[in-house]
Amino acid sequence: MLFKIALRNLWRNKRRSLITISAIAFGLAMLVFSSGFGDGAHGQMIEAGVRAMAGHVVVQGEGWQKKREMDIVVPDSPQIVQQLSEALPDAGIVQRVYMQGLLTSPSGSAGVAVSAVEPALEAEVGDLDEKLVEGEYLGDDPTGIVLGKALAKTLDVGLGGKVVLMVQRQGDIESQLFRVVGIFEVGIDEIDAFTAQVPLPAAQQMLGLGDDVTQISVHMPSHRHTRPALETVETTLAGVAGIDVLPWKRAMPDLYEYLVLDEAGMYVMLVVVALIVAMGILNTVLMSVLERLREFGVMLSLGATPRRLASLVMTEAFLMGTLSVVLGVSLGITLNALLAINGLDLTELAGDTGSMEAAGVAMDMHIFPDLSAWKTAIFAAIAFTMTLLAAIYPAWKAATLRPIECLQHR
Amino acid sequence: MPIVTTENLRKEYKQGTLMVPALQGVDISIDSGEFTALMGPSGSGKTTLLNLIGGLDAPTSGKVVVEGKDLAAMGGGGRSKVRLERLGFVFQAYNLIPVLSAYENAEFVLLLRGVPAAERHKRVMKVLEEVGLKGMEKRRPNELSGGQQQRVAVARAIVSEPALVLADEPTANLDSKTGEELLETMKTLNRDHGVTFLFATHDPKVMDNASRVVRLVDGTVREDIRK
Repeated sequence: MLFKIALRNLWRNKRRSLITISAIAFGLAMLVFSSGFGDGAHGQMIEAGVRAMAGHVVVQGEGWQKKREMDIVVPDSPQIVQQLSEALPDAGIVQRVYMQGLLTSPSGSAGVAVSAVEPALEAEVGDLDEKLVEGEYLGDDPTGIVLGKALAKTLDVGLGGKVVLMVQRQGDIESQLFRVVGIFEVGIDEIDAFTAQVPLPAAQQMLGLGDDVTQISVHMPSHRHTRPALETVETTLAGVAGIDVLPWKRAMPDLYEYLVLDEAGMYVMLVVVALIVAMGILNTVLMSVLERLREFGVMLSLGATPRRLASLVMTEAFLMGTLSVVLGVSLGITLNALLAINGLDLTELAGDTGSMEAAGVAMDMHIFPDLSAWKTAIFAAIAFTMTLLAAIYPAWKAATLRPIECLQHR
Repeated sequence: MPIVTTENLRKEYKQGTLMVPALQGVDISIDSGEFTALMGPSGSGKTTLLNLIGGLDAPTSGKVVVEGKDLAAMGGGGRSKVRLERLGFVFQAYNLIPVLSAYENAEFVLLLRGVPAAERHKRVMKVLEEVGLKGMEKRRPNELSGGQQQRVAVARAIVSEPALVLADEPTANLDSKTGEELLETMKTLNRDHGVTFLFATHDPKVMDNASRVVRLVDGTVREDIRK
């Protein structure tokens, strides 16, 4: 009966109940939607960062992460690649050597960060080959180099132009001649003006590294596979000395901190929305209690206990919360699903390249949502709990009413 | 043993800085089976006396004893229990729960008492028939006339077979014909089923039908006539 009365009371003032339920549901839907959108954007940033600068899991020479010195290599790199390929047969495993030096052309020079890669494998895990505006990606030519568009402009070189890379290693200057085979444009100044890629063997030979590399990166289908992949890599390489095994969060701390900060901003918004919604519910439930004082007086005079009246108010809030959460989550999931069909194309905002820079990563502005089930559940639980919390005061008010005062209420 | 006894019952209300006396030492007792009319002009203390007997309000001094138990000594929970199990209320303004049907309004008290479903159904149907509402079980209060609503209120008051039904001007909002019909219904319940009624009323017809008339003036019992 309590449930029946509560349900009917909810529809007594349809307009007010619908407005309140809609407000909660809409707030929740927006949270679910923005969470899915935010996680989608973050996921794309992580993938972009992972593709360009690391892997979901990386194996590096011990201490390289901090010192970034070319001497710090992964010992027995081919052996480790072999082990990882067997342990993670579906993963993309690539080797890289990172160098910093000076790139000179007949017309100028510029400081550069160069990554030496295995072109065929790198093209599978990365997307620099898709960003070429001139020429082609690295191939069979062991002296080929691809440059950022701005860097090429600084050096005043075009396709077929010659450049010399000079790097300092253990006090000596090592140099190597390369021929420009491609020019890329990512859309981020830091990358387009200061980075280049060369084939791995050239760098290994130039630096005298033998078969070793500075980084072996493991690429999974998505960043959500990072944890199991990390565990597998750590287990597989448990006995290997002189290496560090890092997840992308530690390999790219700037990106990770940016994402944490951005997410914290969303949680602040969540708190603000939750408080606004709670005030709305408090107002609605309290109004509905104060409007029914006489009715509560009748119930008390018939022998209902104050606790029963409080239960009635809480049951009404429970029903309102349940309806709101079901509607809000459904709406949020539907919006995410609709957006997932074609994504949200914001490339117009990003200019010619369709990307924007965030934490040093070129973020694709065609964003697809990625809704997390547990976050949705947490938002729903918060909305539901806030509804119940907001009803506590009106319920307490109902429980402390004096029958005679209620009956005399007009 | 009387169902209700009041002993030197006093009640004062605060109005601004003044204390206004509503009851000034009322001693009455109501026995089982009585059909008592509490008469008196407005402000004589009729409703106050009913509220105190029903444990809806607390006296300034004096006692209300229901079936040998002092209401003041019981606490809120105890008074709720007495109202639920031993008393029934009929209000001037019907005071039905608007979201419940006639059947559900009458059933409400039995639900509070934890009466099993089959027994509830039997008793509710019987009592609705007794008050002349057979066939109107599913109607909500806004689908019933004033007289019909008051009949539901009477059904609700007697469905749990209370020791005493307290009725505060139950015919005041009804036209004279409907009021007479309702009065006849209550009289029948009193005569045939032994339901004890205590009315606060201005209605001379109630007085004519009452087995006892208590006249209150300025918060004191001026007359107590048993017919």
